[in-house]
This record gives sequence, C-alpha cells and structure tokens, in this order.
Amino acid sequence: MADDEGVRRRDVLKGLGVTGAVAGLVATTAPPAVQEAKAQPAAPHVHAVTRDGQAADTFRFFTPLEAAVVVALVDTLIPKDDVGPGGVEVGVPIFIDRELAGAYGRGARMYLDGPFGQGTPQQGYQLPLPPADLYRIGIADLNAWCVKTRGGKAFDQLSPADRTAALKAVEAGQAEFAQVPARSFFSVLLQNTMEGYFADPMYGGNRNNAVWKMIGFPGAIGMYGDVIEKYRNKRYDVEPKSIQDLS
Amino acid sequence: MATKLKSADIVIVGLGWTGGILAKELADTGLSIVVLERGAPRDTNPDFMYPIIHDELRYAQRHQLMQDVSRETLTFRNNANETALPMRQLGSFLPGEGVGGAGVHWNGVTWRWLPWDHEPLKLTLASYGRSVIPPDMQLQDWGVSYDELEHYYEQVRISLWGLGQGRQSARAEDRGRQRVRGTAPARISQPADDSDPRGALFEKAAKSLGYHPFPGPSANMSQPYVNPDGVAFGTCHYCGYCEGSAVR
Repeated sequence: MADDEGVRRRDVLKGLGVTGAVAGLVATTAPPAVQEAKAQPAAPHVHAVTRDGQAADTFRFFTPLEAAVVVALVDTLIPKDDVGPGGVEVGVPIFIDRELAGAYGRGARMYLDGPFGQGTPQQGYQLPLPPADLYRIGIADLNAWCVKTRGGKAFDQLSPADRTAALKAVEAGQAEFAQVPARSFFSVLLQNTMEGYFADPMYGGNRNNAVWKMIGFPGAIGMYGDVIEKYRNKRYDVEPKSIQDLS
Repeated sequence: MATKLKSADIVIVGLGWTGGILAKELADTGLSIVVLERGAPRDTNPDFMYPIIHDELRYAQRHQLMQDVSRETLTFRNNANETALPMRQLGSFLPGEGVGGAGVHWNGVTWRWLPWDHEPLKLTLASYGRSVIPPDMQLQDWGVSYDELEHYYEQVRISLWGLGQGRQSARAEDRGRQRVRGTAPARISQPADDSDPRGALFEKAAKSLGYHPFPGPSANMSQPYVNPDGVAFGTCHYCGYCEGSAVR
C-alpha cells in the first residue's frame, strides 16, 4: 500500500502544482474533484442544518454537503451507546468545523514547504496540505469513492452498517481515493474527532462536560493539594468543571 | 534596511535554561548584555495562570508552548538509507520556544550526572582496563569531574528547582541508601511528595525484596519556597497536567 499511496501523493503534489516547489494553493491545475470542492463557497457562510430533528449548529467552514458527511463520519466513529454520548450530540462536528475555520485549519503551526517526499510512517505527515485543504479534498475523494463503489451513494447516504464498512476500508488504506491518501485523511479525522470529544467544551465539543462525566474526569479543576489525602485510594466523584466554569 | 544598534559587551542567543543562567550570572559583572530570543516573552502571570493553563487542546495537542515549526523546523531520518524529510508538525519530541525555553515545559525532574558519567574513560580503565574498550569506540572524558561540578549542581538545584524533595545518589554505591552526596541540606529540605500511591506501592514491594528505594528528585514543591534570588515557588496542586494531559 505504501507504494500506491506514494504514487497518489505525488499525483496530489503534481495536481496542486507543488512538485519540487513551494506548496501552492489549490489552483488552476487542480484535478476535477478539487475544482468541484473549491467551486462551493469556502467561507464564510452560514447554514442551519438539522440533525436528530433538532435545530442544529451553524457551520462556518463546511458546506452543507460537507457538513452532512462530517456528521455521518463522526457518528460512525463515536456513536451514542450505553457507555456514553455520541460524538455528534456533544458537538464534535462543530468542533472540527471551528478548528478548520481557524488557525489550525490553515496549518498555522505546521511546516508546509518543501522538500517533499514519500516518507516512512515514522516521518509522519508529509502532504503539502494544511488540514482545511485535506478535509475539503478528502471529503470529495471519499464521496467519489463511495459513489463509485457503493451503488451511487455518497457517504452520508449509506446505512450505518455500510458507513462502518466503508470507513474500515478507508482506515485500512483499501479505499481508492483520487487525490489524497485515504489513510492520511482518516488519521487526521480520527485525531480531530477524539480531540473534539474530550477537549474543553469551549472549543465546541464535549458539551456540558458530558464526556468528562462519562469517564469520571474532573476536567480543568486540577487543584487537589487539599484533598489528595482525603481521597487517597478513593474515587473523587465531583461535577466536572470546564475552563469557563472556573473563570 | 538594517538598523545598526548600539553595540553591547555580550550578546546571548536564546533565553532558555542556558542563556537564562548565563545572563543571570553575567548581570552582576556590570557589562552590558543583550539577549536575543526568537519566541514570545512569557511570565508566570498571565501566561501560566489557572485555569487556562489546563487547556489540553491548546497545550498538549497543539503545542502552543513549543517550537513553531512553520517558522523553523528540522529534517530527520531514522537510518542512513532513508531520505531525510522535514518534521511538519511536532510529535515524538518537543523543542521549546520563547522566554524560558524548555524550562517552561520542564516536568521538574533532572538527575545530576554520576561521577562515571563525567569520566567514563578514566573510570572504565581504572575498573576494567583497556581491553574492554573496542578499538573503534570513541570513549572520552568530559574534562570536568563530578567533584569539580558538585558545587554548581548544588547552586543550580537551590536556585532553580530549589528543593529537591527526594534525593539522588551521586555515588553509584550509595544509590538507594540515601547516604548521598548532593542531598539537600536539612535547612532547605522539604518533606518528600508522597502523593502517588504507585510510588508507595513500589516502595513497599522494593523494600520487601531487600532493596533500598528512595524518592526521585523533584522540583514540584510540597511547601512554598523562595530561592536565594527572591523567586517564589508555589506549592504543587497535583493537577496532573505536568505531562500535558491529565487523562493520558
């Protein structure tokens, strides 16, 4: 798979006009799917989407079509079950949207210039794309692959069981993405999903500290000097507090 | 256009541990000193204040206290057959940036070198002879011995991490016996931090096997402390965020 991914990665670089040069923006030489993704208004725009019958959140970065895919992806990665809340209900899609709309999405603290190469897994992320571009192109790739291999349906139109099967193929690098390596997209998506689920609620996920309640984590309190003896070897059962709760 | 500034007697590049100690020591000389630091200025208040410093996304995941690799990074490879590539985001190791350098994300533990670490060649020869050293091994002494440096180890400990609640054996044969060189003098010694039940369990198990466990040196204060320069250290709140994440 590594070689296949390498070939595709070089295609990405070529497609983006960045081979051997400085990483450019997704530009005139972009392959069709990229153009399609970029043809939709990037930002800012406001859409009220609905999920689970509730008036839902306003996405800033994702288009409505992209948002529906991200909601379906997050719901597949962390579904609601008897252990705890699902990723969607605690706001993970909004978390990802906010991150991509901001400095993180622009790759503000990433080195995105050359030299580029295939790299080993140990050399980490080597694409010339900041996270916002990786998502925009990756979602287009995912949908195109689903349409091609899943009876003409985009990812969010699949049944829950089919979404899980599709995502497993993406994770395993078995999905043929046209522009970005499927596994690179998956690993960033999974990382951001976990971040949104567990991070402080001020970033849009972990609403009402619900995930901290589930795992018994007291949140940002972190002041245990006076209670450490009292609770030695005992469960410290308190209402979790977020940074805003304490500010 | 380059601006020509007034010349200084001493210019120090980087205001981390090393540059900071140099600047502090040289400040008493009367020479003019300029320190250059590529990162942001920082101070305890407001940059490390509660509760915002307990923000795992900002600090543990996005590495806000660490080097910004969009401005400067390094390339690496794991063996000579690979092609080195840039580190595009921080991962397995975390260089610091800004005033304080790595000191701002220091976990409060630094073991001093043992005598052998300073003079590996001399002490290997004394114990085992030249025959144990392969011809192509470039074994060298550092040129300073533990005894020569011990005074400075002490000075740094008292100034920077002050109190070492635990103790560290400087002599290999003393390890575990607490008859150590470099142990905190009684007047500034703090009670050991025994907050961690894992440590207590380990101590019990080690003792039952006839070993002599001792607390590791730690700069996480069990009591308030003001160092000889007047810098006040607050007590540890056992927040659990030393390693960046409280739920890791």
